Amino acid sequence: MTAALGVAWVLGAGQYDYLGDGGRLAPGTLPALAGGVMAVCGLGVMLGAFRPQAADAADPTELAPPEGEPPGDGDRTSTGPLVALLGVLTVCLVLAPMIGFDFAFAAATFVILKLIERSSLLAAVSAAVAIWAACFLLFELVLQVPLP
Amino acid sequence: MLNDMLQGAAASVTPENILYCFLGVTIGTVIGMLPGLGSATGVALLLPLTLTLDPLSALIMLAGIYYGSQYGGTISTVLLATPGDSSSAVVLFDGYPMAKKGRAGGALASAAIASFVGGTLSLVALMATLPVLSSVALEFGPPETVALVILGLLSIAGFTGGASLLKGIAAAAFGILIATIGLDAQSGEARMTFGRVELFGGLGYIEVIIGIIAVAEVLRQMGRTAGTPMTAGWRDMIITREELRRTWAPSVRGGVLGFLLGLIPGIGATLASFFSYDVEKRIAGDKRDLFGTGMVEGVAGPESANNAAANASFAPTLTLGIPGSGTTAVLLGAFLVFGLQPGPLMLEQQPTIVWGLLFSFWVGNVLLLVLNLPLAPAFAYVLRVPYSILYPFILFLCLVGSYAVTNRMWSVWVTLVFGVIGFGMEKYGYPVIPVILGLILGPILEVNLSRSLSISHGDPTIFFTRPWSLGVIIFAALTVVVPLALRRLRKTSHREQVIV
Repeated sequence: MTAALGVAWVLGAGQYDYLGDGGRLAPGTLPALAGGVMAVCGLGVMLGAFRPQAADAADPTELAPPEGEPPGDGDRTSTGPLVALLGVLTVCLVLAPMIGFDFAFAAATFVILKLIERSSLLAAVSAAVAIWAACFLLFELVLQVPLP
Repeated sequence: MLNDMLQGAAASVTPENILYCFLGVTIGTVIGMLPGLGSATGVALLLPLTLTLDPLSALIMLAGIYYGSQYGGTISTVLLATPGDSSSAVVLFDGYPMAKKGRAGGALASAAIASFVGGTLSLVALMATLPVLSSVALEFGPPETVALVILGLLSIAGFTGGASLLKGIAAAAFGILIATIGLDAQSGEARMTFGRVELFGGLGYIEVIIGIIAVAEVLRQMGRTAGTPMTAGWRDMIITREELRRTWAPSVRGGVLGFLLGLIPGIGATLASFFSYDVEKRIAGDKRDLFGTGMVEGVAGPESANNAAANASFAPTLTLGIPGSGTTAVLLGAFLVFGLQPGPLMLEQQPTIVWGLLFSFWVGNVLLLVLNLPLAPAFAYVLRVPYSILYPFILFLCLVGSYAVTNRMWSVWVTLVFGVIGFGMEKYGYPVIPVILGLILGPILEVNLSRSLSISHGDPTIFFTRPWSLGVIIFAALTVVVPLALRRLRKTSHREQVIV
């Protein structure tokens, strides 16, 4: 997929010219370069996947997880709840301009906690009210963000 | 220079800025403690809330979140054996065994003191280094800037790529790729916009950063359950005389090592803490085998190193415009949002902001020491909040925060889409920090590449004929080749040992 996206970007960059006059930069040069690098790396990753992996690692740089990111312990998410969460968020964002961001997100919080996380009714209602209050107090009142 | 420093110091200790620093380190400590929220996520999450502040106050608060989260991560590591931030992961080896022996307080107090020592040492060194680096950077023209961007991209991609350098470079290229969406700065032509008017201005840094780091992290961590932290009473927080004596030397060593490593773009606080642990273990002599059973040196050294490296990583960020670590890459985005362009001229043009920010690090370190020694047990109660209750709030902050940047629903959709992209990337082992770096450095690369080729009349050898440019390109190549060579060497010697 990485390689495919890279190739697509290289091809797409063609309509803006790959190189300007006299070896100078054209609008398509950098997109083509970045896409090319991505395609080559994607191909390398694909080929690397066929090679047998060595399991020995004693180098501290190999032990360390990326800086600024939480230590990697694999993703814990199973597909069902993840798809449900993304569905709830999509509906929330579609409805937000019509019923208001604060109300839409409070309702989404209730649905997430009650149906996806199977929390108690009290916890779901409390969290939804807290979200609505935070939205109103912090963003609308203090930061004066014109929320829909 | 002295006058600028004094003005910066005065700006950092105004009641307003001390308050923002306090808020930053407190929120940072809580964020760092919560497993699943790293310092980069914390800064990305709260960036929209600082948009109404003046730039110095906002940067002081965001930097406070950065180093506050380093210490917060230590609390959850020691009490719960779950590192909140990657830079605290190494403290697990000895901090948690200390807690199991009833010395959680000793470990946390030693970590707080070591952080303060490392932070203070590195700050003094940073203040001495910054003017020198700035004056060197002033000699740089467009070809050198291109070389620096390549160095920044390769070093971050190399070190955050974990097992695969190729995936790191691909992620950085993806960042550059999405940076090319929008109007071309040179010709004014709309590129890769797919006919969408919203894409003419390109994809906003903050929306992408919040999505690819914070939203992706929430999606990844769904299903996490709350742990039961070990309790540490206020009385337990008193460090013994023996523990204090054994804290000083590793703190100083960690501070020096962390500062030197933090100066190199891409190394960052995490690797500095791992290297420091390795050093402490190597020089321990007979006690070497006791590491992993609750040695205070194994807590103090890495803690000091990660704090020192966090400070030092601001040197390449402020003087060269090349982030020294993942979190400073996010902070670099914050600088740009506030209309500040980190680089060689930053110290000359914005001395109050640069010196004010640096002095605020020390103020923040004092606040952390004062806060954390007595209040760590109280902070630990946050660890009992179930993640299922917490993540809707985080998502809410992410999505409303991205709306607040542009007041358009478009931004919220961009954040959600990049959240899914970030989740997918992490799932398949692609690091996300290089994407941010590519997104931020892409436009700088394009402008300077264009200028360089104009200067040379299209001759690409210009990058290899200028000494500084050539030197930086060689260094960039070394950051890729050396770790690969070392890894191969270790594997070979490991195989030989197995055969013998």
